[in-house]
Amino acid sequence: MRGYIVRRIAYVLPVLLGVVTVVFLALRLIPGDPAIALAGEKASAEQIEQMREALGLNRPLPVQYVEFIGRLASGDLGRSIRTGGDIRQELIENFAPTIELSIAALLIALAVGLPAGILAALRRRTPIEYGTMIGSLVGISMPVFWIGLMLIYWLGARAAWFPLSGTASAGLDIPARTHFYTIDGLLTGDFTVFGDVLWHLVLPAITLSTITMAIVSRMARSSMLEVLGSDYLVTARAKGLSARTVVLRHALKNALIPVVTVIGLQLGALLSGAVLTETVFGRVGVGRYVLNAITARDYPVVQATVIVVALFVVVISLVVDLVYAILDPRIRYA
Amino acid sequence: MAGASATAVPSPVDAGAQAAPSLWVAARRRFLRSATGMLGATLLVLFGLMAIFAGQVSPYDPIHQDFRIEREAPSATHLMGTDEFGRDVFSRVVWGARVSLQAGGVAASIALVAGLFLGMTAAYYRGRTDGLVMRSMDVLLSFPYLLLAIGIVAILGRGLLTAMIAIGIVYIPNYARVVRGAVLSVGARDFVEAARATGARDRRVMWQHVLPNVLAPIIVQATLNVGTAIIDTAGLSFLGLGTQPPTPDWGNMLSAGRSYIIDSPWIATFPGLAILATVLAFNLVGDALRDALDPRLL
Repeated sequence: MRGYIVRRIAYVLPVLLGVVTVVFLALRLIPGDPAIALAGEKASAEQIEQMREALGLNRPLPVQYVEFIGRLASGDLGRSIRTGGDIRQELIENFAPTIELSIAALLIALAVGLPAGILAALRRRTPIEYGTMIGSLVGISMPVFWIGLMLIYWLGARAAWFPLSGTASAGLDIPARTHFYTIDGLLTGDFTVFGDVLWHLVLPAITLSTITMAIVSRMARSSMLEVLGSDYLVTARAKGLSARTVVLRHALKNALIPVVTVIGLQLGALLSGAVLTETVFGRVGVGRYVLNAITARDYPVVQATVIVVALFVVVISLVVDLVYAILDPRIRYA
Repeated sequence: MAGASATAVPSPVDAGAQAAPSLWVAARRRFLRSATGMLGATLLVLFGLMAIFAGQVSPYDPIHQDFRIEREAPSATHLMGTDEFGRDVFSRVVWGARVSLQAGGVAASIALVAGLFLGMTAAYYRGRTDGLVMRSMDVLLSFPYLLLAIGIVAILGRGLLTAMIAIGIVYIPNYARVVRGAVLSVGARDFVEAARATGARDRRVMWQHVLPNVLAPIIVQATLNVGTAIIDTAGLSFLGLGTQPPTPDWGNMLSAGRSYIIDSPWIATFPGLAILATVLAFNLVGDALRDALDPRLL
């Protein structure tokens, strides 16, 4: 296992460096003067100089690169041109709610997608299987931003079950400690606050969960079908075990292992969907943060956000891979 | 999906190597027998015709504003109602098909061409070239696709063209991986060795001998990808980074409809349904093609 961990980390390090280098070069290899291109044609000489200074464009490229890596390694992401604030702090405040939304969506996707996929495999050629397959096909064909709007209209406006938008009700005082709104809500010790935050999370989380739910149910179904046809289950049945025991004690455990990879593979998709979902529901998050930055031509923020989110995806994918290797020994010995 | 037996039909690679026409004839037969595939294909033809003949199909000018009829509910006069500027939503959905199909097609084509070139180069030359290309693809895959696209648009500027380029770049690794895998499996086969032995140059071997035998997975990937590219370019337009108003695009129509979702839900409902139907059609065709071209999956 140790060898596998070392191999995986050795594989990830160049990718991490590649991510940083791509973002670094992307802004600097724009034809002409990047500072003018980024600040815009109508920018004043002062604004162009501010952009040059903020991105460190006034030094030779190799020097810029070394400084860039050095600052990143020390956790210094620079200052926002728009707000003048420390980007690291601003990112913590905005990325945490996005992670929270993505986790909530993932939990819903697993809670619905797994049983649906497993049932579909167990009840072949029944309405359950057809329903799951059609549902998952429609699920992957819908844009999340449209699902969100439809949920706002039907469950928010028409049924009045959920709030229409926002992260929490206006006027609610939630001291920011972790920047995860549900946790901060819990920490207030006031369950009304926690309930309010949770209530605001439901529709966005359902919205964001749909595509992952569709993929999880497809994967769980095919994985379960594969396991159900394997020799060791034939043996289990031949021993006279009940169908229930065969499924619950023998098939399920192995069928669920490949689903773990979905979590790693879906992380990037979830974070991408979160950007759109946050826009639909007007929620605090990294989506709104980066879009505001683009509108204000605040490139240090765009640069830092893209790097941090990509690094986050790489690291979490690594963790998922390692968990997968623990669950399935065939992976680490492959 | 198609009714052919998995054992009776050889794999596409084998079939392609031995008798190329039979693979495509058999695949076409299997595809035509797939009810879902035919449903998807019919929908695509309808949407395609709608996009081509948008001028004839749409009853009104999609950008003509008439504030006397703003946000009118669907009626016999305006089948899908009117938007906040009094424009006919149906006409905008019809013209939006042209923009959205073009956006999805162009983005997927950019990815296809670049991915095909990179995947074939990596698999054919192997060694360091393979390592460099595929690690670069891993780096691209590390970015959440929409954030990478947003980053590219941030640098290149807003607009439909940059949105298509951005989504195209984001999809390149998918193709590169599929192509590389397929070329690796074909590259070691006898007929490729034979082509090399006759003194054929690398480029000729790749394009004339290897490529025709790896087309099946690429066609499936491309079909499925046009659908997701339509969603993703619409997503960029929804965020205000793609097609700019007043040009009708399903994404920017949804963005405008968001502000009126409570009182005038039809403004956002119909463009969304159009995206759903189109992407569903591409997915149905893609799934049926996969079954038709790769009998092992049956």
